[in-house]
Amino acid sequence: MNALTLAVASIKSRPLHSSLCMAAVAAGIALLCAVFLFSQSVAAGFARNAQGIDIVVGTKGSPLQMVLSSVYHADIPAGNITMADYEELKRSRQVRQAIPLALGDSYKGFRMVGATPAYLDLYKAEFKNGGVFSKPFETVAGAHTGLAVGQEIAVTHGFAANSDDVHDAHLYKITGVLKPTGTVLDKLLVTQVASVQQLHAGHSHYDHAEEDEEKEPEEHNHHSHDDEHSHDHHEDHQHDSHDHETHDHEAHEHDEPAHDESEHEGHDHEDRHESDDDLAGQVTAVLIKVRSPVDLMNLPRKINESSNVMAAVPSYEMARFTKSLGIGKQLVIVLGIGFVILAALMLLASLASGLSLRRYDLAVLRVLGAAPARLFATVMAEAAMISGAGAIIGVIAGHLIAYSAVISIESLRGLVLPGTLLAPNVTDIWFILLGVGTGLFAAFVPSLAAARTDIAGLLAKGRS
Amino acid sequence: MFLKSTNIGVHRKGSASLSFPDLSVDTGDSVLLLGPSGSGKTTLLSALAGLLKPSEGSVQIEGNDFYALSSAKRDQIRGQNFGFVFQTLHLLPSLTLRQNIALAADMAKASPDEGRLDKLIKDLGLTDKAHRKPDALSQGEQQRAAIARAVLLRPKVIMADEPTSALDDENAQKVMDLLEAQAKDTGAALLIATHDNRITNRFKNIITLTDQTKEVA
Repeated sequence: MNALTLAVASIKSRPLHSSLCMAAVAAGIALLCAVFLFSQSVAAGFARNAQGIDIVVGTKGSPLQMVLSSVYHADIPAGNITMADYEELKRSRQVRQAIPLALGDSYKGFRMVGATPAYLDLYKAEFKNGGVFSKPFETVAGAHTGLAVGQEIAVTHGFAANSDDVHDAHLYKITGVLKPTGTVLDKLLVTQVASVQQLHAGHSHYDHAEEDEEKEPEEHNHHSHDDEHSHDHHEDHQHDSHDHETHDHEAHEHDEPAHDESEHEGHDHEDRHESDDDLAGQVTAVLIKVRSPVDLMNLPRKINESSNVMAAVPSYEMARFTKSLGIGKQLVIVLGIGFVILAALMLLASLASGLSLRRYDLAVLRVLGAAPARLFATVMAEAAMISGAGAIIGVIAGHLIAYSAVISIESLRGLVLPGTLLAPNVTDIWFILLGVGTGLFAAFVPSLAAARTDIAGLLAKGRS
Repeated sequence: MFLKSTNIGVHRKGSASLSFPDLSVDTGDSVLLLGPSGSGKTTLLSALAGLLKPSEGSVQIEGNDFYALSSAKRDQIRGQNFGFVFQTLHLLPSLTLRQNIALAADMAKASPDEGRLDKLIKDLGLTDKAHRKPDALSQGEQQRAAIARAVLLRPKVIMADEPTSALDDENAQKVMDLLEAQAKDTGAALLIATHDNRITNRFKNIITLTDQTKEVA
């Protein structure tokens, strides 16, 4: 029998007290652990989605909006740039790889991305069935889209799942379905840039030709008829240098009562087309991989200073973004630390009150020959076991909390891999040590009191 | 001479100063410390056992000054050479009876002698109760377990503080029989502090303490 056996016996003899203390430690550690795992996996998700994308180039506007829309497919693109801009970037000596993206359509909320097969390679995508697209209007479906090879789908204009604006002139045919990658790719449909361009170039020619043409022009954030980001589109509208009546684009001025206005608000949607011929000659963004770290420093500056397009570095933008989100995280961390402190106080109170009951027991141990250090160790061992068990329970609970949070938040799918949240993490050890450390800290004073028990005085008084 | 005290006095703040007659105990001796409550019997036992350094005088153990030794050394000597029986039993409620008895060996860092432990439990008629917690035992059973714990390591002296005052006549005599038998069996000296006059006739060597609180007050 040693200090541990005595501590175990003492814990067992007061099950309610011990388990309450354990629960308090567990709650604090669980909260901290869950917040940590959650933010770690979100950060990892951001990084995983931006892998191989050093720089994003798109139309001038908000860099964060551009990164969100073209890397994470989470926001609406602000506009488009010309194919010529893309070609110029592609030719740049500093650019190792440039992938054009054409956005604007979706299928049941899953975005249709016009790109090149290199886009799939960015996420190391593998095919579950089928293969890559080779012709316009062939598409590869992400793992979570629920589509199957051979299926034909009509995409809708815009990104809302409930859009009525169906591009029914051309159906897309699924040529391949991807395995899950744990990235946004899982929720995307990927096709050739040309498909999207053609569909929009032909938008007015083929879609809804029979629909009424007298309605207000629908406000669209749409690359095939947006060429500039503008905050004063109404004005632009009135001073439009082009004659609306002469353009085919009126054909898309159809009635869309169910269309989500907010989705378009704040974005450009002017119909000031330079020329109809350019409708097809646009892409929404270009994902660039540079040749060297020095290029990563210089190229964005060069682009932003010398051209009419904008470059942004995803890692930088996301760091700024998550920093601004950090307040919420800090709040939960403060809460978690509060729980841990509370747990320490509970443990302290529990041990102190337990000690006054056990003073005679401890005195007996001294009489039987135990040195004060041994009594100290016994009480410390008790605290260590309670807090250690609490911390282990807390870490397990933390993993489960983070896991259930992630699987219950739809928008995190594709960003976070839930499975990784259940896997043991190196930091679990630190959280357990933190729990045990807190317990030992709380137990220090009671342990010292135990070691300094006035035996002679206690024995003289006797147990009441 | 195993244990000897000379001119011991204990002054503790908040209580009366106590001074004690000289005392010497050798293996096989039986000594009775007789005195009313307040006469400092427990204080004297504590001082003799190395638990309370006297303010004056000295305690010699096997010819050495007990309090000249380190506190750790005193703890070790006490654990291995002293057996204690208290008025209130001081069995640990969280441990089984057997664990309580074995505690004597653990705390003294002596290697546990399982054979001796089992024999003691059997001799004291506690075999059936060995794995019960003290709460589930009768007063008499707890008393026997406490005595078993005191004698487990074959101490050189068994110190008993009011071992009989809470018991009826019959049990008081039984406990005294048991203590004497165990002392004889292990060759230990028996030093009993009590105000219980029922057991005085068993002792030839009686040291009488007086209530010293009155003198000061």
